[in-house]
Amino acid sequence: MKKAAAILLAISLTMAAGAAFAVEAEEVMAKNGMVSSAHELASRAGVEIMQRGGNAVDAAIATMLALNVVEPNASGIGGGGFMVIRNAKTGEVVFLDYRETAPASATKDMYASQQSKDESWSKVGGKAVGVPGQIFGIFAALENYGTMTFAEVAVPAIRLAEEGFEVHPMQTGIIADNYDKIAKNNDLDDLAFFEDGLPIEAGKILKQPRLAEAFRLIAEHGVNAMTEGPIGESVVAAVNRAGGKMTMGDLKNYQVKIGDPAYGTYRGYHIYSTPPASSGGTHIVQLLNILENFPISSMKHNSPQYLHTLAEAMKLVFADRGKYMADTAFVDVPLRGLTSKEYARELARKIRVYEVMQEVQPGDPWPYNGGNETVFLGGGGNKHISTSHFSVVDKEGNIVASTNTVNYFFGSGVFSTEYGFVLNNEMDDFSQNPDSVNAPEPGKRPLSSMSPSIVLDPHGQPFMTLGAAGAMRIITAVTQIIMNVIDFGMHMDEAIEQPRIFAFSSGGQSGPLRVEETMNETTIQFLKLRGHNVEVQPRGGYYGTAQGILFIDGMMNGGADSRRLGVPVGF
Amino acid sequence: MRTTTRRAALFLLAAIILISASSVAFAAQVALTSVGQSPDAMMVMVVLKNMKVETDFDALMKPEDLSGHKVLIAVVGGSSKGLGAAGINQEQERDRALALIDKAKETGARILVMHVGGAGRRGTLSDMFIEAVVPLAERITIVKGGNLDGLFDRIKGENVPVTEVETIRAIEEPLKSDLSDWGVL
Repeated sequence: MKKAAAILLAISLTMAAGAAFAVEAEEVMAKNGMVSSAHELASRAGVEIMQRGGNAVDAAIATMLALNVVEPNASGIGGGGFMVIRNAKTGEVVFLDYRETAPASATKDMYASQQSKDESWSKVGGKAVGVPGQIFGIFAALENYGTMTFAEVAVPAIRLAEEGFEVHPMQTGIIADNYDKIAKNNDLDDLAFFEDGLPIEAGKILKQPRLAEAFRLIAEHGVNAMTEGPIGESVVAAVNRAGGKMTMGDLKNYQVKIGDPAYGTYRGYHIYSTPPASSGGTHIVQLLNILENFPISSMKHNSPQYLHTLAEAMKLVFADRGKYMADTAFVDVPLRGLTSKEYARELARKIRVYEVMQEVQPGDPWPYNGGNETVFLGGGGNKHISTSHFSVVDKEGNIVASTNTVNYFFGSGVFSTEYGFVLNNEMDDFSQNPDSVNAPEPGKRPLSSMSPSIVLDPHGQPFMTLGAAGAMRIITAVTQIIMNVIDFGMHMDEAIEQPRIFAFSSGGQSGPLRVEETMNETTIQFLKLRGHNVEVQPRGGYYGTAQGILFIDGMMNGGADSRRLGVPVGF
Repeated sequence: MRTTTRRAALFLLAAIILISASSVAFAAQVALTSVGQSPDAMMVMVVLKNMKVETDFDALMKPEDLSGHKVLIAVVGGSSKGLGAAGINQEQERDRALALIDKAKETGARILVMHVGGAGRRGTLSDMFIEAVVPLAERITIVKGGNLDGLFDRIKGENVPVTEVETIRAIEEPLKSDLSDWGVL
């Protein structure tokens, strides 16, 4: 009798669970070009450049510079990023890495001391700042793939900086949240984000003439403004004033990397994303490869069965990430093994329908890679919410996916006060363990999760471009969105707005299964019954904030995350 | 005569030492602390500075730091980042705040609780601190959005006035009024 009741309960739970979550998705369609970014004014800046005849790369740089103005907490010329570009004429997909590097003064043990941990050297102040790469990335993109000059693409950003824009309540909140580190490292009277020592109020117009001046100087002097000009000098002075050790030599020695993206397939679709120093692209491909072994589309979307399978696969991927991933310029990483279908099949066999893994050991991708080395990453994942992704497509079919960051919101808290931009705290993405392969070394890039991605359909035609902010949750957010589109047939915004989960493992142990509170309540109960250690959290940026563009019948369909201020704009 | 003079001189010296010692300890009449380690208390500090009110500010103020202050301002708002940076957990922070308020009551200092972070500074962590200290407040000032659910009204002491203002800049007026009523201004 009891058993029959339990079965009945299970059946009714199963039926109720996975009921579709009613998302407020907005359909934005366009024919000639589209930009989807974390701020409407930045999306408009990119569209303006395309309307003036620029291609997707020109528009991408305009968007990037405008984001520095309207979302100065998340990305800018004091930081770095990654870009994946698809050339419509040649079909070539290339990857640009302008991630920050450790300065020449870096040592493996620079954050190992108790004093460093107590005083948060890797997070706040001059010691936290990596050599910023964004200006170098901008010129590499424009010179190799764009059609316009920096002066031309910077016009909308300069206008926005000089004329100002209305501050959103979320932005005032972000400034207030980071008040202490900014106040500690700067005279607030020097910064446009403060009035009478307090965060600028929502609804006021924020003007940044010093940042506009920086863009004008870059337009006039190119990268020399950074390598031997006043902007570079202001960066070095700010870092050193705040306790760091950076030189003009660090800026002069910075090198952008241009190469092949990480590549894989998912149910015939071609996925191009970021190779190291980002772990993102490789692990998105790995996660999709594992999930390809399950009949996902026959499972109900966000049903307990689907989420269980997804969560278990995430744990396996993060176990591998912890052991193998680092900057390939310094360490051998089994990239081919990690992205191999055969290796994924081996991992998929570890997933049991009714069992939840508690111990999660890394697999061994080396036999699938043709090598036999092991490395140690060390250090766990981070929890902060930061970074900014945007995607751009033009009518020729050129595509840009780009994710940029200063790491934490308002980075290190150290500003170039002369030019009004914040400097990153990317050094915090290194491991503090000197024995780790991800320990700081001069010129090394810290491990990232950023994953700007381009998806082509099985015929090699443009299908989708997307990416996200949100530290390690970038990997899981992008994967879930790709599956929402490919397996469940959703449009872009609908796919982005769905509730998400995040599961991971660390040190051989499973972490909790974190679920957005907008997930179906019965599904959450069912996951608990199955044995998952479920943590329900508010819907928000923790689970990643994504932007993307999908191609539907020759039209561009944009989506942008309401977990942030994202807006797609097309024409 | 000589002895009397010497005694008088010693007394005067002792008095000077005492006065100067107490002038260090009682540098300000207002003590300001955070309850929850959000940066909000720092912003209240800026407003007080703009008002030219001398204030002893320590986000981690301990009961023994309170001496001779006429007013304790406790700015409530939880930040896991701030707690992490301070190297304490939420229970330790709550206990510190309660001990500090106890000491303030013992010494006759008046207790003003402020919540200036609006709706964004609510949630499980902040609410735990709010529920701990608001019942002990003599006056409460809230920036709009922080009390949409009426939590402060439900848990405050009887007849404790609650002032709600639009923005953090607008806390200046009620601050002026409270500090004036309590003999600071």
